[in-house]
Formats: sequence, structure tokens, C-alpha cells
Amino acid sequence: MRIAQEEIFGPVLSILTVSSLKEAIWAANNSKYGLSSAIYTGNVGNAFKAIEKIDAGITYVNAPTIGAEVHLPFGGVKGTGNGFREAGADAVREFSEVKAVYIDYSGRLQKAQIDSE
Amino acid sequence: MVQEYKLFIEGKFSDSSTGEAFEDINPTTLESLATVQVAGIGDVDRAVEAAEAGFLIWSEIPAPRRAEILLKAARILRERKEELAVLMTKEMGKVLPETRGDVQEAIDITYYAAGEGRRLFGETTTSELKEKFCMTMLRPIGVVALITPWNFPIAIPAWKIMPALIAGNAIVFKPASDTPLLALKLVEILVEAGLPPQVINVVTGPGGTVGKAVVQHPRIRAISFTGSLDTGKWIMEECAKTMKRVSLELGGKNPVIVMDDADIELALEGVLWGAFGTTGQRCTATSRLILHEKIKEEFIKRLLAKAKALRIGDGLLPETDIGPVINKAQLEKIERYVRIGKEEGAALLLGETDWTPAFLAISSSPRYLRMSGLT
Repeated sequence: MRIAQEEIFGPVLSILTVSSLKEAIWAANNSKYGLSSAIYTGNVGNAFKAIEKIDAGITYVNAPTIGAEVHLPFGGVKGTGNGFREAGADAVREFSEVKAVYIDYSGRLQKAQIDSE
Repeated sequence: MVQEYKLFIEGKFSDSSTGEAFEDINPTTLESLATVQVAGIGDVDRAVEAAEAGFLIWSEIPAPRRAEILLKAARILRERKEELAVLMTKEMGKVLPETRGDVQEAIDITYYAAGEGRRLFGETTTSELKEKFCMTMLRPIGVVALITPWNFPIAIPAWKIMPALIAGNAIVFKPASDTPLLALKLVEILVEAGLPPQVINVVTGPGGTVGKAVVQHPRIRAISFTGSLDTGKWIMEECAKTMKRVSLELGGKNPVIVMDDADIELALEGVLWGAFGTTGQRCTATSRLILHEKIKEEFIKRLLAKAKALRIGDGLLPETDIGPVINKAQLEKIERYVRIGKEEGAALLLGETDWTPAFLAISSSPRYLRMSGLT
């Protein structure tokens, strides 16, 4: 159903019912998006199963899907993004290039892969 | 007479070449807060040129020194938190406690990014050869463009601006047309804190023209965009043509699973806040409730009671729980999806339109709740 699949960006909540955790996780993952997610449970095993199996960039346990803190990475999987994360230490990487530097102080030509044997 | 805001290019407010301006509308009162100039393609060019000049200055400043400017900006943000929050509620509509949180998030990321100024670490490792040393180092990208949405008018811009700055980049910033004032305030604060002119440049106007010119600009090296999936796909395609780095934060359809062993009251509070906080206008908003069948009836009954008790209204008033939807287009989108849901056979459990309680209905699953404010 489109109402349960497409982002509306408003105060609309689709309610689905399930009969097991397995079904719940399947339903949670049945989406083209994968940003935030949450599970409310008193069972630590259920919580860890959800953490492990939900396809999302963020999973909350016994807390709502909103409430990101700035020192943790923020972003999602699937249609939510292209692999970058904002905030956290990844934030600086988002806006940096990495350079590899080699400094040869042997004073002679050394050939990688060839002279290393 | 409302104030007209100009573009911010080369460290000063300057007139756009188009001679056009758009209204910045308060979604609660529908009054115009300001008019804001629409940038032309030539203005985007000017912004990029300025940023290129800014980059030469900024990237030469050691990162710990850049951090000092960010620290000062964080302190100014903290001093002006209440004023910015009030303006944000007027510009974007969400309730004051939430706009205070939005400003706080900007303060937090600014302090955090400043701290990173002394942690731009590379790695060292051993070489496969003798007398050879290997390391990695971070370098800034150059001129980067940031395109931000209206739902977090200062937090999301700050999430992008502060890390981009601490890494040494210069910026062309295209904020959402629903919330340009908060974007301009943030930039003013950075300049007040000592950011060299030209390091950040603001071009305002529609995504279809200004955003497009930014995305297609050959001398912008990276785009960071938060918004819809469709726009994100288009940006990614366009960025391929000029080989830009592109980072995308797009949509969500965020699920909450509530198991039968959950603390029900805790879950109710979490679902209510996640689904209806910020009028549901968060990329992380709870939009799918996945309920264990054993608790379904009780949970829905209690959730409806709590949802019905939420007060929709002016976000500046302390009694208000939920502000309005941002604009007419968004409200129409919500209405359209409610119709789609009904056509698909879902039951509408709760609805409020134009400040008047409309109807409450319950039937078979899957179901959805809806609340909409006015625009």
C-alpha cells in the first residue's frame, strides 16, 4: 500500500499488525527507505535481534525514531542516501579528501611490488 | 513594511541580478515575514567565484585556528538561542520547545566541529619497502555547495556548514525557500564570529532554478543535499556529469515495532512524539507503527485518546503541542495521501483539518492516523 510505503512528510501514521518479531522485522524492512527505526520491548533478545536485522542507519531501543545526537553518525541505507553519514566523526570525512603520502628516504629507486620480494 | 533580504555574496548583502523576490510566509498566521531575493545564474557564478577566493584564504588557516572561529560562533548562537527560536517558530511553525532544540542542535554541532579542529588525524603505516614511510592526510575538497530543507532551518544547515568549514572548505549555500531567514541569521553569526568574507555565500531562490544552477556548476566540487528521494536522484545524475562528490540524506518511512512485552505507556509516548512531533515533518518521523497483535486493540485505543488530546495551534503559545504544516503544497500532499490511503482500503482513525476536529473512525487494519494543521 502506498500509504505505508511512500514518504508523506506529515502527521500521518500507518498502523500494521504482526504476530511475531520475525514478521515485525520483515515489515520494518519492507520499505525502499532505511533511515531511522525503533523497537519497544522488555526482552533484551528481541532488542538485539532488531538491532541486528533492521535495515536502517539508526535503530532506537525503547525510544522514539527521532532524537539523533550530533556526535553519532546520521544517515540511512537503501533509498535514504548514497552511503554518506552526517554528524559524528564521519561529518569531517564527508567534506575531506584523503591523500596517501609515501616518503622514501633510502636514497635509491625502490620499486613497489618488484623490489619488495 | 516587511524587510527585503538580499543575497549574501563576498561577505556582504548584495542585490540579485534577477530583480525578483519571494515571500517568506509565517505558516501559522500566513503573514509575510520578509521578502527574499531570487538569485540568477550570474549570481550563482558570483557566489562560486567569491567562494573560490574564500577557499584560498580559509584553507591556509590552520584547523585549530578555524576552530576558534567556530567556538565563537557557538557562543553567539547560545547567547541568541531564544531570539532565533522565536523567529524559527514564526518562519517554520514548529512549537517553541522544538525550535529551541533546533538551535541547540546547531550549537552542539558547532562545538563538536570546533573540537574536530584539533583532531583532523591521518594514519601512518609501514611500507613494504625499507626506509620508506607511509601516511594519509586529510585535505579540503574546495568549493562545496550545501542544499538544505526547511524542517530544521538552522540545525541541518549547521550540520553541513560546520564540518565543511572545519575541514577547510568554502561554501555556496542554497537554503530552503520556506526558511531563508534562519539560514541568513546563521551566516551572519559566522561572519560576526570572524569567518573571513567570501568563505560562505548564500544564494536564495527556487530549487528548480537556483538549486539547479548550483548542482550543475562546473567549479563546485561537492554537493551535500538533504531532501526528497526524487530530487536526490536527479542531483546524483547531474553530479555525474561534472564528477562532483555528492552526499544525500533523503527520505524515510521509519518504523516503530511495539512488542507485546513492551512498556506500553513508554511506547505510546514514543510513538506519539515520533509521529506527531514537528507535525510529522522530520525525515526520522515515525510513519509506520508495527504493532504486535496481542496489544493492538488497547494500544490503538490509548494512542487515539492521546492523539486527540494534542493541541494544534500557534507554536509560540505554551499550550500548543503541534504547529501547522509548512505550506499549502505540503498540506495538499498530506490530503492526497489520505485519499490514497482510503482508496487502498485503509481506515482513517483520526483526522483534523483546518483547526477543527473533523472525524474519528476505526475499522480493519492496516490503518492510519492523521492530523493536519492549517497552512
